[in-house]
Amino acid sequence: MGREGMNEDYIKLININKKFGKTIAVRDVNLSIKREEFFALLGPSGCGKTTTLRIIAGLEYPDSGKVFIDGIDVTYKEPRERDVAMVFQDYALYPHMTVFDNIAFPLTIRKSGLTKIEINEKVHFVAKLLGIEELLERKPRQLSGGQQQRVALARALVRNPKVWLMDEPLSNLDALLRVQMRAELKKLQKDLKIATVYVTHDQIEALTMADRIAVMDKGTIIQVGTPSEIYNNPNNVFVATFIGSPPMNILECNMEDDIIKYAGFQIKKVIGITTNKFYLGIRPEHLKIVNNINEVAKNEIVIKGKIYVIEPLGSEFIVNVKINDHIIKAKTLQSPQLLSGEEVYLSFNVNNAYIFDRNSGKYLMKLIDIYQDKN
Amino acid sequence: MKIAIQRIKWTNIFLNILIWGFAVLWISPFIGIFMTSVLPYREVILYGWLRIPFDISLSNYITVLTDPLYDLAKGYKNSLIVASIGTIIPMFLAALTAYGFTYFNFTLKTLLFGLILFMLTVPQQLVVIPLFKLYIDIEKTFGIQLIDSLIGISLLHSAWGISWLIFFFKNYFSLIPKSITDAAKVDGASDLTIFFRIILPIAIPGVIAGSLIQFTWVWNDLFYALIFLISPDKYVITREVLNIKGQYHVDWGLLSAGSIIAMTLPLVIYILFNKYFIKGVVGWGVKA
Repeated sequence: MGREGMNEDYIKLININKKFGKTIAVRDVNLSIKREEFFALLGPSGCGKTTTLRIIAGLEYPDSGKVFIDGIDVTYKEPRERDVAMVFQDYALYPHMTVFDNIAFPLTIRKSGLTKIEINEKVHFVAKLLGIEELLERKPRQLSGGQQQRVALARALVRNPKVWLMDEPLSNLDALLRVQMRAELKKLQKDLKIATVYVTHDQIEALTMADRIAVMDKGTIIQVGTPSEIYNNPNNVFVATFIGSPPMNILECNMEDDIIKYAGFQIKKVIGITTNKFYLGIRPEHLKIVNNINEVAKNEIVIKGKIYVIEPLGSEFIVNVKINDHIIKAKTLQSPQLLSGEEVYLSFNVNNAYIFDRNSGKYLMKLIDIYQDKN
Repeated sequence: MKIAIQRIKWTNIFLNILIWGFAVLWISPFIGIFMTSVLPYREVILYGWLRIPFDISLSNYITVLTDPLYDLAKGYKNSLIVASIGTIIPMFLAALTAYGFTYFNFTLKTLLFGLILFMLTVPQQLVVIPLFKLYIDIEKTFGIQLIDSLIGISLLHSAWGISWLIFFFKNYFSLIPKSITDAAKVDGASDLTIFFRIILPIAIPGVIAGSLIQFTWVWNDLFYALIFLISPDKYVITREVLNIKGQYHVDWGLLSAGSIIAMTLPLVIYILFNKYFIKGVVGWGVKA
């Protein structure tokens, strides 16, 4: 941050609403995206993230609301009047054209006043940038998925658009290539400093690439923030369970006489919470296996359960613990030497436990805020 | 396991017999006409056409092609004109219309498309008299002669072809991923640019298939030719072949030779482009 122009609202969506028939695709969406920012729209399929992107692109018009790009009201302007470029999930290369013609297409059809030599130079420049110079004479069908992806990126880059829009551009690549392209794409965006709106359902992509993330669900924006804000301070149980792998454990708790009750444990002396029914959320990495029940540190809560299954991930382990009918997951660096069905104690710090309202799903407070037994 | 294999085999054999049966049924009239055209008429009458030809004679072909009574060359020329115009015009208009139906939303879109589909079900015989009257009215009002005119009948075929071609193209275009037109829009293309530079080039197999089917359809038409072409110098090939049949006597050998000659062009086209025919039919029926 702090760079020039970085704090200006470059793309602005104001109260955007969009219906398809009776289905509400986007509801009251407000967004401000800064110049040079890599912005991710994250959410499950059907949450309205792609529709939001298409509204920015001009491929859909909102039923109400306004879209501004670089201070200009583009709400009802055609895509070609907006100076945006888009990368599609299926790459959408023109199958009858060579790679060169595909990349040159945005230049040749606009009356840009460029000569053939200039177009040639520009195409070669982006082709070199993306390492596809030797493919220029080929047809899209002669390319691998990763190569097609690069051509699509080159086509979106060639005319220095104001905004780069990407609709799940990596989801058709195999896992290895996806990880590689993730880093490359981020580097490219940081080098070229183009405002980028990136749609994905993959939280890892959003967390690793984006400067800021908007988490969407059912057409509305639930939370906007930096990856660490989204991860560490989820404002809603939806965000908490959507982000993180495995996601946050959510326990349905009840409150009776200043005691939080759950099947495997009780938390005493809790004062200052207004609702009786809430969710207690604990991230798997904040749960520890307790070896000695007598050596529990201050502010730690202990849960008793039975080992359900242990999933090794190489460098770490996901320990599934069954508490009554509920399974909670703990992420540990070492595998507990326990078998399925054996008794186990887990502990977590009250500092790392989140409380969400059970009706609205909204974040209320951390457990530490109401925990009195701090000694 | 054994039973399952046997069952599959039997269905296979049954289907094969069925397909071969239909194929023979479909091809036999053609073989009949061909045999009649190369065998002496007397032999056909006495022994039928279904036999190995020992004594092939091209005399029927020579007569039909050289006798000044039958002007097949002129018929060919007229047919080429009518079928070409009657293909190019509807192809272009239908492709453009189908583009609109595929990519735009407008009021009454479904109703309009329903009307076009309805046109497909209307038999030619039902509209021929109103059409004839329409052409007369046009001639009376604007002084443009459309009856007994190659242009007139070409326009008729164009109008007739448009409805099925719209249907055909709409199905074909909907096979093209929508993201491609979206990408072109974002890249800065106007609708016409998208149509001419993206959609049409991608749809070339469909364009060829549609053209071929429409072309052969117009080429093979006799019904409109009988009604709308009056003077012999305007006769198309099918009408010319009909001329070979005398009023009181039919020389089947000559008539068959004429028919074979009339069929040659569509047959050659089919043999050259048959993969597009198949693609066209596939594009017509199957949606990816």
